[in-house]
Amino acid sequence: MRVDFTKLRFLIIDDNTYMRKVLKALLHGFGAREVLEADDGAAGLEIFMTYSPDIVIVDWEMPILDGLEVTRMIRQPTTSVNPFAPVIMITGHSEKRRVVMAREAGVTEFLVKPISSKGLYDRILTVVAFPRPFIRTKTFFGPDRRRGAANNYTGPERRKGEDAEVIKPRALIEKARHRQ
Amino acid sequence: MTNRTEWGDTPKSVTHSDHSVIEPVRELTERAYTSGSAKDVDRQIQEAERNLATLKQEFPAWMASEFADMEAAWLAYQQGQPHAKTQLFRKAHDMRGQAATFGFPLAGRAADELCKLMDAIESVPLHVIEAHVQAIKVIIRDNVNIDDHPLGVQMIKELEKLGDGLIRQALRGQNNR
Repeated sequence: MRVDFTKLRFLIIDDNTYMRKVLKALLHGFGAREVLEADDGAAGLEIFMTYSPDIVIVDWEMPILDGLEVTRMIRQPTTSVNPFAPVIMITGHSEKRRVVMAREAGVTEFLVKPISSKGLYDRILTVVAFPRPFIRTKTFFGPDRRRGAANNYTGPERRKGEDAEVIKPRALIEKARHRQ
Repeated sequence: MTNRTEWGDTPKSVTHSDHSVIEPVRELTERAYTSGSAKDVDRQIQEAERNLATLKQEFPAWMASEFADMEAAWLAYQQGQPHAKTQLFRKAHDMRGQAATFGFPLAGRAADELCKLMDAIESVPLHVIEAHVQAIKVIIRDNVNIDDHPLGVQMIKELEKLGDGLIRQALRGQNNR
C-alpha cells in the first residue's frame, strides 16, 4: 500500500523560505500537486479556513502565531473548517517537554529536523492510513494522546466512565498487517 | 459541532462522564491510501530525494543568508533591542533544524547547543552566545560540510562542555532556592 499524493492538498506553514522550498520539493517528489504555503501562522490559518487542506505541516517557532497556537485554532470544534485535519509539526525542538506540549495542543505527528524524505513520508503515511480517534474533554480536543496501551501502567484510569482498554489503539505494525 | 460539509459526515462518538471518544475520520484513508508495492513507495521517496538534490547547489547561499539573519539578531540583542532575544532564539532554532539538511551538520550542532542554553537559562552570558555564533560563522565560512571534521568536532565538544556546565550550574541554583 502507498499514499496517493495526487489526491491530497497540503498546507505548509513556516516562516523560513528555505524550509518551505525543501518541504515543497519533497512533497512534489512524492507526487503531490496541491501544496499551499504560508509564511506565518496568521496567514496559514487564513489559508486553512479558505482552502481546507487535507494535511497541515507546521513549524513551531514563528512570529505572530506560532505552530502551537495555529494547531489550537485548527482544533476549535466550533469555528474550524476541519478540526480533525492532521497536523504534522516539523521543528528543530526535540526536547521531551516540547513533544508533550505539541501533543497537548492537538498535534497529530511530530517530526524533528533535520528532516529526511523517509521521515516525512512515514508521518504522512501514518496520518493517512492510520487515523487516530479524537478525544474531547472540557480542556482538550484533539487526537488521542495515548499512542498505545501501556502494559506497564499500574495507576488509576484517569478518564472517567470507561475502562482503560476501551481505547486501545493497536500498534501500527499490527494495523499494517491487518490491512495486507 | 462544526461545518460538516467541509469534512464529510460527523464521525461517531461515544460519550463518557468526563470525555467523548470520537471515531477516527477515515476520509483520507479511503481517498488516498491506495494499492502499491514497497517498490512504489521507494520510487516516491527517491523522486523526493532527486528533487531535493536539485536544490543542493543553493544550500551554501541559503546558509550564508540564514547566518546573516542570525548575526543581525545577535547584534540587535547586544544593543538591547526589543524582541531581539526571541528573534535570536528563532534563528538558532531554524539553524539547529536545517543546517544538516543544507550540508552543514556541525553548524546545526552548534545552533542546537545555543538553543538548549537559551531554553534553559534566562540570561545566557554574552560571551557564551558569542562563542556559539562565531563557531557557526567559522563552519559556514570554511565550508565545513562533514560531521567528523576534527577541528570542528573539537570546537563543538568545547561548546557542549561549556553549555552543560552552565545548565548544571543554573539547575543547582534553582534547587538551592
